[in-house]
Amino acid sequence: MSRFILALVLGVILPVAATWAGNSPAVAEELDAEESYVGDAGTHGKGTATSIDENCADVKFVVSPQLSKNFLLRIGGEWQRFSFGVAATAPVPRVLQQVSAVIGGDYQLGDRWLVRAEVQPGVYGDFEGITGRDVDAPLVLGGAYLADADLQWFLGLRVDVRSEYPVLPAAGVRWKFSDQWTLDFQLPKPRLEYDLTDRWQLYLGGDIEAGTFRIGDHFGSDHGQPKFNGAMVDYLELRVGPGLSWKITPILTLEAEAGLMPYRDFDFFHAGADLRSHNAPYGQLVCHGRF
Amino acid sequence: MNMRGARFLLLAGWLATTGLAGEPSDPVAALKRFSDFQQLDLTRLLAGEIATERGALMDFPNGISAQACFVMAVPPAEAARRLRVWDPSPHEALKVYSFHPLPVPCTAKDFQALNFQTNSKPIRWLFDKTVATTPTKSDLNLTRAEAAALAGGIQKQSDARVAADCWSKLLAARAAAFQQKGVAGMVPYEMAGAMMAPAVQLRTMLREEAGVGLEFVPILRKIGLFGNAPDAALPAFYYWSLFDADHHAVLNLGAVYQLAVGEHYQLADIEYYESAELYTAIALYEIWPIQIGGQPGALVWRGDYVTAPMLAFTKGTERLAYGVLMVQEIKKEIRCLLDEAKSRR
Repeated sequence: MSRFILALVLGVILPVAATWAGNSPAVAEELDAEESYVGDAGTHGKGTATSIDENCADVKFVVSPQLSKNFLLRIGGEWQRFSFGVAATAPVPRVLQQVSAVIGGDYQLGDRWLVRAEVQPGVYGDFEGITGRDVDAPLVLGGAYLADADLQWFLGLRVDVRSEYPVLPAAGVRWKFSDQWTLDFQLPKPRLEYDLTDRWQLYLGGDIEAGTFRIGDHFGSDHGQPKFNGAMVDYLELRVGPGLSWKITPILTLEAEAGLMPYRDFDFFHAGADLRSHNAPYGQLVCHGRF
Repeated sequence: MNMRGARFLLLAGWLATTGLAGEPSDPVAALKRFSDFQQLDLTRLLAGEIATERGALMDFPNGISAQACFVMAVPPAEAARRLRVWDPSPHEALKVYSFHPLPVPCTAKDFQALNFQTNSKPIRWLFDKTVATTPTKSDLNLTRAEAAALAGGIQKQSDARVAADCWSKLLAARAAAFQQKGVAGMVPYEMAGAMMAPAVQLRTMLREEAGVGLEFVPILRKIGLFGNAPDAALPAFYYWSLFDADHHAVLNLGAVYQLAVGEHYQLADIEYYESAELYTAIALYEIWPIQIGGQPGALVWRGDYVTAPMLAFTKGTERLAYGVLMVQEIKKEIRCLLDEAKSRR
């Protein structure tokens, strides 16, 4: 079923995107692919003590054609999957996954503001028996105030009506304070960057992986906790660590990062229970393509 | 050349021959005819506002553009003169380290003010890139012969004076070639792999902005931008400067041309050499007579067209952001010009 959904979403989005990308050089294409592994982390919750490791994969492709002088459409798709290695009896989903379209736009507002609205309608769940209740459409609104070439301020808002916290605001800044140093404090991936050369960059970064997912109707019963059946879970994971970025070509960048996952939370907020993990090492590889 | 380009050049040539380009009646109407300003409030411009428009994303991968409109409280001839010879270096905000007029003909001695002996990190960057240049590899915009000359003249532990002398010779040769041959003397860069011809880039950008290109046919044709022989009688102000671009110092060579077209003026400021970060740039000005409280004044339209290597790899929102920042930089520059004019009065 999950393959069918993925094929359906990508089948609708990608031909449209590819047509745009092929027809006009004034079209941007963004490809971001990420694979990471988080080692065993002690995880505790109501009556549960276990150890979890994790594989996470994320692929996002967006095409952005200019529809008018001030408006760029954004259309594409994203697939993200968290796979957890966990004892069969532990009330932790083995998979949290999203397959979604990306529909939105960038707009220049006034002299100094660029704003973005992006909605990601799709399926968010453990993909055990998908129903209409697995469908969600989180919305991200963002604004960048371009003070000058070295300083930009950011404001953002994430709206997901299924989450315990349906509206989450954020603020950030990008400040290039010398030729080699840049503070790029933008959520969910804030960084302090140091340019070693034109192609190599060192950074100390943070990462917030988060999402709201619905788990299967029988998940709770299968794990001796019926209250978890069809429950919503707010997933949150923090990471912090140094990384190395290599601009292989001007359009392709590879990043390798390793560090500590200090905190992870499965918050079954409707069921009034959560499971928390602490302190595990992680490593990740990321590829950014801008075509 | 594609059909669009061929049609543009044919039309441009015909308009230049017949003299139909640029015969304004009402200045604001004339400005709206070719520019991105479809709504323009002259009252606000008279009050000191600088109107700006970011250019739309170009098909040309290395190009970016912006337009501005403002009023100067001096007659058009004086406005044209000030714009032609304006020295931005006293304005710290513009990050121009040096700005010097060049005589005709120029020699290496005219670049004596070039000095790499400084603690300025951007200038140090240019010095380091100069020292790192070899006959086959350089991050700077050079021909192979220029790279070989720099590499031969500068040893790894070379002092700043030697580097300045080498650059002086290089810049003098480029400036002399431009003074003699005009646009045809713009020597292509060869060190980035493929050959990069700044003159071709200027033509390509102006083809994309067909309305502006046609409006400026009178002056662009006299400069020789369409591949024709330049008009040697067209007065030009030559200069060199050293400025900061994204924390890196850039040496450039430029020429500002001025042409009276009926009651108004056209100016073209061509930056025909940039040592790095940019390939080339052209700023076009059109200046019309207006009345400001019964006194003669000038309505100025300015269009900036810039090509840069990194622009080829910035698309979508990122390119949009570059356009917004470019508009801000141009606005800042115009504000300095206007403030300077005010302080003179």
